[in-house]
Amino acid sequence: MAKRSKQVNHSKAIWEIESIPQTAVLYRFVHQNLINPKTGNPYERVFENTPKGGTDFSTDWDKYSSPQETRERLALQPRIKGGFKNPLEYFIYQFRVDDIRKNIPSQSIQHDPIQDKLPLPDNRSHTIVIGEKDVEIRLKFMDIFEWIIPPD
Amino acid sequence: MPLVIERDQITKDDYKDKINLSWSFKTEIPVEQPEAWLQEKPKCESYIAKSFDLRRSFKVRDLEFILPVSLQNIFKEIEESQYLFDLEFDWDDQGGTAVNENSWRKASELIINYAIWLYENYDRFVLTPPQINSGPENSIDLLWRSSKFRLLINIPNNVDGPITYYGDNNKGKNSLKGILESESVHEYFALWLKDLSK
Repeated sequence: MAKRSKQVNHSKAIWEIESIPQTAVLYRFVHQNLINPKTGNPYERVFENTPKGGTDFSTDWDKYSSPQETRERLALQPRIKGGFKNPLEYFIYQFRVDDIRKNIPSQSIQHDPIQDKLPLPDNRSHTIVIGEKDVEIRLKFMDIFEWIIPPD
Repeated sequence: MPLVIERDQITKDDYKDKINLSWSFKTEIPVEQPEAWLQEKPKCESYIAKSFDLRRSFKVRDLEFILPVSLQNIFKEIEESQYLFDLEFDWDDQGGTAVNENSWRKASELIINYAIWLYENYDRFVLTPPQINSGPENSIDLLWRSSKFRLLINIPNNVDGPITYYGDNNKGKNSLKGILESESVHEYFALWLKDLSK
């Protein structure tokens, strides 16, 4: 099998953790099977912390990633059943940081660049949204999500 | 609109408290206008079901309910939710599996209990069925949405875990949030569900 992970480069600059400005936009991906066919929107369960029982969910900061790059990066993520994820099975939506901070203040947003953490691909844009995702919070994330690469 | 029941000498008492009766009726819409009949038929059925409090047995898996015919859409939604048992491992590319049957049973009984309670206590009120969806960690989400309100209830995969809920007026106001101890009816909660169906 071809190696998809980058080799560790000890001479590479370390990515600093930055503060996320109010004008930032965060991208997330959703699998096609998690889209409600009746509404064309993600199911409310999509806005859960991952992995299961975790404290946050992952996003990509638009300063260092485009929606298309967020989608393409999935091809470097391993699948539970083996192989790697298929980007074409995923669609991209976004949150505006301003909307999160105003409407869901229980959540905090933290830049969390991934670097040299195999098997995860390097990702300078990686940003986590921290906080419990109970039924109220999941409904409120549904209020502020916006499709960027929507389902066909 | 004139309504003629096809069977002769049928009275309200004939239907009262009877279950699993089949019945048919016709209106005075001429045969030459079948489209008009197709449009009127659901209204006629609804009229009869509500007026005579017709009830029938509905079965899904090993659950059996005696429900007013007016609530058959509730049952239909429960029946269609059986797809949650057919979900294969990793169906969501995140290691997800099919739902726990006991959780699904709990969700179904919760919906039915509230629907029947509202029907029997509020002038045969017909509760709008919720969406029954997969929830986080193989739980079940029940979602009601109307133009005025919304409500999300989560039944956990662990059948002993708490049933949590949140509802508001779609704008984060007039909210309701908490834990239901069981699938039995709590009146304050039933009245909230009633408002969702307006």
